[in-house]
Amino acid sequence: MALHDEMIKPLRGLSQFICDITLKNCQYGHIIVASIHKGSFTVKKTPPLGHGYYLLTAKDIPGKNKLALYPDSMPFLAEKKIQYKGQPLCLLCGPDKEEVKRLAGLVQIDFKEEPACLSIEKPAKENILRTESVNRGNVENVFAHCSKIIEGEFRTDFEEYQFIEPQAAIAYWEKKKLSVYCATKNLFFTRNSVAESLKIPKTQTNIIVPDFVQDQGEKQVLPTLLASYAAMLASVSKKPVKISYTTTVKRYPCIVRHKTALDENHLPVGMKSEILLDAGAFNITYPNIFKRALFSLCGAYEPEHLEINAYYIRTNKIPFTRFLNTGALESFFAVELHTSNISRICESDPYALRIKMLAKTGNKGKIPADSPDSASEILTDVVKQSDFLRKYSSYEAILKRKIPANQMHLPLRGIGLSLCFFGFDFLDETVKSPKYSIKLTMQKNNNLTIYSSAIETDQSLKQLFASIASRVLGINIAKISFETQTTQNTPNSGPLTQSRVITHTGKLLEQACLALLAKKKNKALPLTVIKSDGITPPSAKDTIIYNTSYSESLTWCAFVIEIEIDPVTYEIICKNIWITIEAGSILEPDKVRVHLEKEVLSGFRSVSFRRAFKDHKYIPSPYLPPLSINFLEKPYKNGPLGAKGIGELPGLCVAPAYIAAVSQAIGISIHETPLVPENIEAYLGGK
Amino acid sequence: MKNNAGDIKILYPLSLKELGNLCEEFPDALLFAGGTQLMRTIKEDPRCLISLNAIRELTRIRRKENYIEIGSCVTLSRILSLGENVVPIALYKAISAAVGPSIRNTATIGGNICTISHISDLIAPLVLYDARVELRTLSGIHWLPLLRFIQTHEKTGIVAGETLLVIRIPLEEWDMQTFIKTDIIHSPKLSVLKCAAAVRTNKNSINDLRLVFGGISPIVLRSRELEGILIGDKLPLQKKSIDLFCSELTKLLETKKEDFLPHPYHFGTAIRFTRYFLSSLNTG
Amino acid sequence: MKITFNLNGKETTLDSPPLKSLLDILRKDLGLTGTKCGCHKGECNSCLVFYNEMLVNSCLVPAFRLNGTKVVTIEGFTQTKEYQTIEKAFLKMNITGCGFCIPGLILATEALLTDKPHPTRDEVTENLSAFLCLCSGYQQVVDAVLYVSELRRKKKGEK
Repeated sequence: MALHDEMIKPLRGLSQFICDITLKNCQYGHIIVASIHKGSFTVKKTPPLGHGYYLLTAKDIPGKNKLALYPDSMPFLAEKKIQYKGQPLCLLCGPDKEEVKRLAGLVQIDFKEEPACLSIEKPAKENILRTESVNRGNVENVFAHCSKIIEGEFRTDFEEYQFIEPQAAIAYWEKKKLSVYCATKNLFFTRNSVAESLKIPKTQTNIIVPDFVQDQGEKQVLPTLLASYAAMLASVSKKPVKISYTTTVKRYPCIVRHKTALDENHLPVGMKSEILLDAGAFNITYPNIFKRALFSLCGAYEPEHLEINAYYIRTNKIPFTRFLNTGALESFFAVELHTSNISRICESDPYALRIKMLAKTGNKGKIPADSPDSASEILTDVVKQSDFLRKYSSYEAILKRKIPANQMHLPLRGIGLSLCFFGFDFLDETVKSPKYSIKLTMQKNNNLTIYSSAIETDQSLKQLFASIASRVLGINIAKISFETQTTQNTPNSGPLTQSRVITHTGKLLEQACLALLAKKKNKALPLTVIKSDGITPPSAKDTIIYNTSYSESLTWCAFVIEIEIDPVTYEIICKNIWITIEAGSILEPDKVRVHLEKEVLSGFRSVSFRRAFKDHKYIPSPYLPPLSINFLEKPYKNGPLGAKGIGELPGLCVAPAYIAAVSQAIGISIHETPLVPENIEAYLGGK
Repeated sequence: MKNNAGDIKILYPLSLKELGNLCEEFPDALLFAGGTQLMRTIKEDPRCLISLNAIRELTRIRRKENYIEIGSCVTLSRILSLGENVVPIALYKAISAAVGPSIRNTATIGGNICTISHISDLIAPLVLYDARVELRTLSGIHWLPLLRFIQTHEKTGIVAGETLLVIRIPLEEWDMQTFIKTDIIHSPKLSVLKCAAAVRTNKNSINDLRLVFGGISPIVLRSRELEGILIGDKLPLQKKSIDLFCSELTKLLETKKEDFLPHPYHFGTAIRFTRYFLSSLNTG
Repeated sequence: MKITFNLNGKETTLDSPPLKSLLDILRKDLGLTGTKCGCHKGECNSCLVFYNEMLVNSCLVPAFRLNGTKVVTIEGFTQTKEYQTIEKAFLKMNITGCGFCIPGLILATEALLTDKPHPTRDEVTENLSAFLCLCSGYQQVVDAVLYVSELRRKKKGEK
């Protein structure tokens, strides 16, 4: 579809999501799920099924009843054991949706409940799926001889968000070929899983991603499950089947403990850290979540003496549809807030402390001499932009003064700072030696079609890619279109994760365009070019935690927020936000600004989510002032036209800076989310 | 929800008289005003449904010198369209904050009141202004204070045979009026605390002071005894007077805490709201 | 029951259970999928339509309230000249996203500008605050709405 059409269609109400697609004779699928967290089950009795109605259990799956994900797997349908509430047990389909629901209600299942683990606190040994430890330097010695120790426990709470677009899949057989519509972000993974579950060749399976999909969170496991269910039901009913499932994107509570040893100059010299992360019922989100969390645990500061223990804990909770920044958000929240706390306790300003800590990490000569430190530069820039130092010291001074009663109606004020990075895709060890491709075809009239399985359905990414192609090829952007993503027509460009797609797939696109240009010199149009992955990201082999040698390949963000607390309602009002970002070359500044706002809003939703929302998951955007944004441009040689993907980076910065600002305003150190007016009431104790 | 066209009788009365006759004939009929709550919650099809939105007496607004009468089926957006100069400020603010523009076009004032739950945001400001309601029951039509209506209907809701007809709001001059509710910004569904206050002064002393709180119970809290503490006090109010008032309010809220404002946040906000309101009388 | 109403300028008659929502009628019976179904309880604002020239959540409008009414969905609204300025502004401000909430947003924009042809930035923000677009920030949407207002003002001035 041409880019212009893609932009016009949503405005005119013409965008077709899966829920809008109807096929003739389409049957309705229904999933019967577990109502207990852990235990076992037997299907005791099934109702008589009329003509055209089918019931499937695990034993009816022709192929592998296993969704294989490194390093673990989970069944498509539970066989006997239940590991989480809502785990799919049986499938039903038929021509009448209401009748299918009625029949599902008549299926009698006996549950035998067992004690479930629903918390990461004090995990039992058998529930620890993965442990990672880092020991560097001489931590015990440093702690024994330090001047001061500062410790803190940081907790991020549960968060969830409802997909507004109903999640669904449609499968149908046509001339011995299976086609499945589903909103997956990993086309070929879904295809392989579906084919394996049905025991059919991959070439017989075509996965189609609709041109319009609401993007929110991880979309690999759920779409694959739905695609497989629809395919199984279509195979037995011999008719098209549509199956939908209501669920939410989730974040589970996480605990991080930091203990920092300071020298006589109040500089950190050693660190002991611990993180407990919730894997859910199956270990299918490693390495993404776990390795991301570990890599970010110490932030950008790379302590010389370090002891880390990280635990990935199995609980009886749904393991998939997690927020994409899970792992990184929790780690940055803790380390940045801990750093801000250190500066407050030691009465130094948060900027000066961070600069000194960053300077220390560079001393080992790992940064090339001619490559300046982005972290320090953007930190300095954002502090200057926001007049942070003057405001910080003013608010500190006000805090120290007792406010007279007749001024109690004045709002409390504070300002907070944070520094984060992003771009962890080189941590992905799920595919050994990945080989990803992109395809271009150019017609005689110079119309270009881009074929890639990693093009996000959000047009902003497509616009960026079109911009890259337009610049390299010297053609009008109106001549560029994108092929609908299907396993049949588009090459495997790898999983769709935001920052990776821009940096790696974008680079692949740039290379493909250059190859096309070269080919054009000797051959007439039409031409086709397929470019495969020649990019070597930084080696992930020994990567555990951040060190400065990765600095250049990451995207950086420094963030300042100024807040005010309403003296009556304790509502926290954001007065100003400043961002300085280093993301290589900024190809489309206006689009990046929109993206930054979107991610900052997402960050605010995360920090202010209340569990009371469980019946009302449609949380509108909080009000934010316009963002003041500066870009520090440093062309990145491995990125398309020097660009790097930003991904969820800005959202990571929000919580620690926001909470640091509120902590200053009320004079109490806050170490957990959510941060909402009720909590301020509790912290202030009714003063 | 299974809908079978033949099973539901839909009736469209045009006048109160017709409504009365139909209610007598079909005492179990579901009364359907805006439908913004019913369409969400209805689980079973009723046998008979009476649509109220064409009844002229229920959809008109009458403005007199001393009061304004709003039919129970007047939509919230129609009330707002009268403007802030006509609609008392606390009520205006409450309606603006209650729901978004699209729901306001369908939701009715009567529906909001008759929901009789913590989401009935309009009860607090209406009680602030001593609003009265006209209620048709099996024994006839009579007026009663809105607060009394809520108190008597808290457990049952509006019962079969009853119809809320009109809300009458006295129009008075106030020196200061305000309404707040604590909620997530722009997500009114989760609000619990509503605070409404109004004050009238005469020759620089307090002539009338009203304070109403809404909490988790649909019944709002208003104490004329408490309000009377500051009647006659001269402005600027002394700090000790404000302290005394807030102290008495705290005692009152403590006695009702469990049923009304169990959460410390809402409790604390109610006190701070009051203190802030009284202090701002001094600054004008 | 039999229902007859004006849909996007055309008389439309169909049989429907009385409590079936307008949203379900549009999407399932009439194939008009431009109006989206997110929550079916009036919270997500994806299902907005014009009903007798008022913006309403179609998931909360029952079939028995449709007789003799005028309904305009996004498909119908895009045929109007008012839509043209909105499309121009939204394209200029590059309102991108998955598109799920955009039809509702466009109708809400029209409703706001009909009521207030020259809203302030705060008024636009307040009015659109119930929207739940996750794909983009809302500053650009506010900019787009203000731009529509400006375009219409210019057009009126030219006349």
